[in-house]
Amino acid sequence: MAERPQLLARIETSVVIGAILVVALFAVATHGQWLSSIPSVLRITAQIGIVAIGQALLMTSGEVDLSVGSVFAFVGVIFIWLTEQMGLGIAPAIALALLAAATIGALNGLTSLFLNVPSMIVTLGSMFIYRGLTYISTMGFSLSIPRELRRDPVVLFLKDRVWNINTTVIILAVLTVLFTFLLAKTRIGSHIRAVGGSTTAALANGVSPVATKLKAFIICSFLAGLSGVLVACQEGSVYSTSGVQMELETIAAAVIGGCTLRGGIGSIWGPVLGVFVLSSLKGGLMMMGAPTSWYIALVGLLLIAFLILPRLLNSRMGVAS
Amino acid sequence: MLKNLTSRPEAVVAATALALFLVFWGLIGEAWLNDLPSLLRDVSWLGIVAIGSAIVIVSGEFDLSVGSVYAFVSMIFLMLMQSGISPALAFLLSMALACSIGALSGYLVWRFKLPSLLLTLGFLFVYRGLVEWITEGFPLSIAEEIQSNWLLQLLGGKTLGLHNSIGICLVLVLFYAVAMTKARFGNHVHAVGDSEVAASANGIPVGLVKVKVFTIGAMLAGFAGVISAANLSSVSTTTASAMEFEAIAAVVIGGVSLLGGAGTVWGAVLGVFTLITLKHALILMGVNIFAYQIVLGVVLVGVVALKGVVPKLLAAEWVSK
Repeated sequence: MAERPQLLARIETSVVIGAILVVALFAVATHGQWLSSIPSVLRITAQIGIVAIGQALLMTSGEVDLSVGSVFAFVGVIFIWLTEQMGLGIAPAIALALLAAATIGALNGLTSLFLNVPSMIVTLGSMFIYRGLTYISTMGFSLSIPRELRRDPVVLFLKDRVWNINTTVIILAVLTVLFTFLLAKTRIGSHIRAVGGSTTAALANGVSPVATKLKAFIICSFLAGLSGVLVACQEGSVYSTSGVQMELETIAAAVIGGCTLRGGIGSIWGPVLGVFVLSSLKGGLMMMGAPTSWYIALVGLLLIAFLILPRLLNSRMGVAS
Repeated sequence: MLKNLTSRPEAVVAATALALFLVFWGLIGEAWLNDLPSLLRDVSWLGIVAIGSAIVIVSGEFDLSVGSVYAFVSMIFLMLMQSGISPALAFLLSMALACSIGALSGYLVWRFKLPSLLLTLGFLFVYRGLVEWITEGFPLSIAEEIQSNWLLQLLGGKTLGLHNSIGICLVLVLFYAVAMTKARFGNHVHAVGDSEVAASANGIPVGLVKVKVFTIGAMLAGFAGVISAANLSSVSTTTASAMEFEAIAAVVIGGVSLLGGAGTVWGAVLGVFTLITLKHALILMGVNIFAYQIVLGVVLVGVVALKGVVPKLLAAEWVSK
């Protein structure tokens, strides 16, 4: 193991190579045209990437959240409902909606951890519940921010661009740095990695798996809600199908970026880069005129390939798995 | 004796299902009985899928791709017939396809020690993408002149006012219930689900068992897809989307342990009956169809949570006595 160069040993190496390949491939295939679409690719990356940070953190702690897509949509619905029906301003509505998101995460976590139910099943249930609520409150269509609030400074700020880069992209960058630091250098970060590696070992060392995982659940739903609110501000509406398949995309991105469901090992910027790869594929395929179904199939293939590849490489290099 | 009967989770499900059925009969009246044939038809379709899911979960794995396999195999079945191949041959070919899809998942899970949840999530994308790509979003249908073919009539027709698929489902339940409880195969599946290490130490070919289990899961999903295609004479892109979640919910309600090693096939089918009863009742009572999603989520989380809580309560009561 020691002979392996440090760079190749990092779990993010494959996604970095993947990202470079994707950018190079599309840049060449579209004769450079693709490069001009990078701002819009980044905008999609920001939407999904913020959610993927939470998913990656939770997967590192050994759990998974299938409800992120529904929470993304439902928190957007709550936000718009607060502005429309309750007459709140944008800023207080955002604060309350984010509080609701954190509560949803706490509910998921408490149900899973105290009743000893696998997180996959609890969040599968809440995925249905919040999607159902979203469908009912949007009547199957969409909800929009009231007209008089569309010029609100917060909304304008979120719609704004700095050097042609969307504000949400900058928020994603800040969050990525913040959570990379949190996972690598802080106490909560090492607790998360510890409980993901082995709950019994963590407990023996005085780290509470329940408290740690609960925090991860809350952060995950909070970030899903945050992204939902940001997108609601940016686009002005929430649709009944907003965030559908987001759970699948974020999990795929997390795996591509080096997380495994076994927990203990994880990265934040790897998965964010993974989202960039997926969004580039989406944009690039559209530009090349390929049907959107290719994207879905490709995400699946990438997920499978990135599951198998590390294990293949490890066994070739003689590293015990 | 009575204690023995009520302590089985399947007994609780059977009682619940029966109670629900009677309550809705009382609430809805005549229309409920008129709906019975189509209720049982839907139970048989999802039931066949759930048999496979139950076996996979008892072996300690998950298969999230069943809904996509259901759609993909039935689509291939229709396309083969459209290209002029006889229904019987098309049926055999699509069953072979379903089996190889399952064998591939099982082999990859075993060979690379992959988390089956993530791998089959990948395949969910891949097969759904293929369905969307090939059908280009349009439904496929069976030509008029072959709709009266004996095989299609056998699979999708009616006898004495009831759909043949109900009989097929019952035969399959019996067959797999016996295979899981009385045959060596079932013994092996339970052993592998309980503890892979112990199973392999006792000379059980773990890899082979996994391949078999996934093959059966995909085969039954494909078979259910073909049956429904024969009955409806068409397949659309959204056929059976989210079916894997319904199947897992049904299996959980039917008393199968998500940790593997315990559960029955007929319990899973009773779980399907409970879910479909709820679904049809909501539709007949004119409740918003999206409420079904919420009910599905609540029931799923509720049942699993109850399973975690009830034994603890019972144990506490026993101790206090």
